[in-house]
Amino acid sequence: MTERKLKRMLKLERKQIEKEIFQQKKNRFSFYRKRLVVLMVTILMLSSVAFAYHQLTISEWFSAESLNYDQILVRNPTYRLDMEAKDQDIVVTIEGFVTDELNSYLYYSIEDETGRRLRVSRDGIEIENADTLFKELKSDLYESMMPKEYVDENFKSFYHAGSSTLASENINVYREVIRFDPVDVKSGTAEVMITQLVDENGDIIEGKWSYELPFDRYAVEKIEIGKEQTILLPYKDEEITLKYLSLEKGITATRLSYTETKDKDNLNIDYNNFLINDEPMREIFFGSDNQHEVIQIDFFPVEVKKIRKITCELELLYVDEPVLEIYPLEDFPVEIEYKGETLLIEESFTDRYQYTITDDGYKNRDFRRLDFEFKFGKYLFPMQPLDTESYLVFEDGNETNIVTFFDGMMYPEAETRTKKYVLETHFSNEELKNMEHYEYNGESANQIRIRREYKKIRVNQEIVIYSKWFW
Amino acid sequence: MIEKVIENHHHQLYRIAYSYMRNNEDAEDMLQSAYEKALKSEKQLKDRKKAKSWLVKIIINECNQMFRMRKKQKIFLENLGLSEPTVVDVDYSQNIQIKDALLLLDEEQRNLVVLKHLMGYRQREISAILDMPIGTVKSKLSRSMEILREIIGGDSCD
Repeated sequence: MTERKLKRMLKLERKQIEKEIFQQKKNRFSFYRKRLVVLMVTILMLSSVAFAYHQLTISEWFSAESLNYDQILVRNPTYRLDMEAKDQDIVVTIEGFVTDELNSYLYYSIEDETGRRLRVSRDGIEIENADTLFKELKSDLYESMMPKEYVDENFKSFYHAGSSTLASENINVYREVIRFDPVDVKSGTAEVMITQLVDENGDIIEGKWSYELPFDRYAVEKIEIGKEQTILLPYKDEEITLKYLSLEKGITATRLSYTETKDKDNLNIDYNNFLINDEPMREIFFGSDNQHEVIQIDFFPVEVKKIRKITCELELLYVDEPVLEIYPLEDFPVEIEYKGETLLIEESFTDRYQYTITDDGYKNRDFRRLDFEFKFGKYLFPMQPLDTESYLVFEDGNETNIVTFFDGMMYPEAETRTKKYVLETHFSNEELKNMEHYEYNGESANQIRIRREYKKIRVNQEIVIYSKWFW
Repeated sequence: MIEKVIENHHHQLYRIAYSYMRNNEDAEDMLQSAYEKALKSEKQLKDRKKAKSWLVKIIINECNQMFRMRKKQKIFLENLGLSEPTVVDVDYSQNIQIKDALLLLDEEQRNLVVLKHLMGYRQREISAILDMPIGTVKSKLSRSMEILREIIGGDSCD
């Protein structure tokens, strides 16, 4: 064979490839065209229905909408029940019972003829046949935590959680959704009994409102991802390996499951800006239980036909790093230099010693906070946030009392808006038991130590969790 | 940046994968996996101008890797007696199709022939994609064509 003939054959092969690709496109086009025809017919049919709220367009295959609690019930009308029960002129309506393999949501509203604003009390609801519906139902239907944006401002309690106040058109009607474990059976009837309501003053109203709620548990759509990725962290060449396992699309939530492997326990990653087809996913602040090896993040359910891409941002790296810096304390107030910024330590004495550490450079530092330790004579006392009364001072000068470290975590302003971070502690013979335990003899502090830094390192790296161009 | 390259050159990239795999499903799989790898290691790419040739290289690697894997699988199955032995001896007296003949070339030779003659890349572009001096591209391409001629049918076809 001559070279010329070979080149001619290759040219023919090239044309053949073009032809095959063209044929593929044609087939695909005809496939989509057929679907388009069906789609158009469907749209025409749907548009004739007066209550059609949702028109299907081609772009909607990829458009993702994150629903809120209200929308979940509206978009899943088969789960609407509107079952009323009345006792003592109080009507409690179970608006819906939405169940899938991820969560159960109970929607209710309360209308009191005397105009009181009432909600179901924490201990005032139970599922009487829980044994037959759940393998193990948490004893308290109100979980201990809830999405912070849904805290009912009228009650201002962080511990009445797992519930969310919904908008109600009628000012006398209180609406709420309670979130609890998913049912473990595919269908059935939940026998719900409400026995206590609570008003805004915390007064309990006893009564009996009972319901039999039929349900068909929605089967979630599970997309197996099975993708592993190792990321180099900007801290001592440490790496983290992420394995994305699956995405479950339910009607109560969209759940992402993954594992995280790292060599050091003192590294913590903060992921943010989760996007699905470039649209934001809203995280349910305290969603699924992450006590296991597999980490699960729950997002408000996303309505999307085809998932093209899921991304997030590895925003921050938190490092818990031990340090030991010792500074003597004499002639208060004392100023100490720590990493180019000043820490002002003040002492006052009324009926007890008080120490206030003001970190004016807080905002400029690459860490979230420091752990301090005071030395009194020969005794060392850690200034643990849990043992202190502390408060944050915001830029506008307002102060927010923080009783515990846990509460402190709940103020995102502490991360972004704090002008200075003030820790104040009160030591006295009488009031602090741990001081008595250490036989504190009443001397004032003579040394402060910085024990630990909680570093905050900005990473801002986009992570592609899932991407698919073809179906 | 890689996403932009994918969006702008998707059809061309698909053609490359298709030229290797010769069926739609495999071509799409190879592209999918190449895109994922490219997006994952995008930061390693220092010269943005080379993004496209870098992506082409990843696609080619994916396709070749698939060929290697399939070959290994076939040998493994043959050893277990679960598959017919591979026909190594080609009957040069018969015409064989270009697409089959390409599979009998080694990876480098196949890359050169596909890029030059099936994709129509210039030697300079091939040099950038395969990271090979242009002189080497010329000489190796010429050698690859000779081997391909031998495989396809020697003089009997003339």
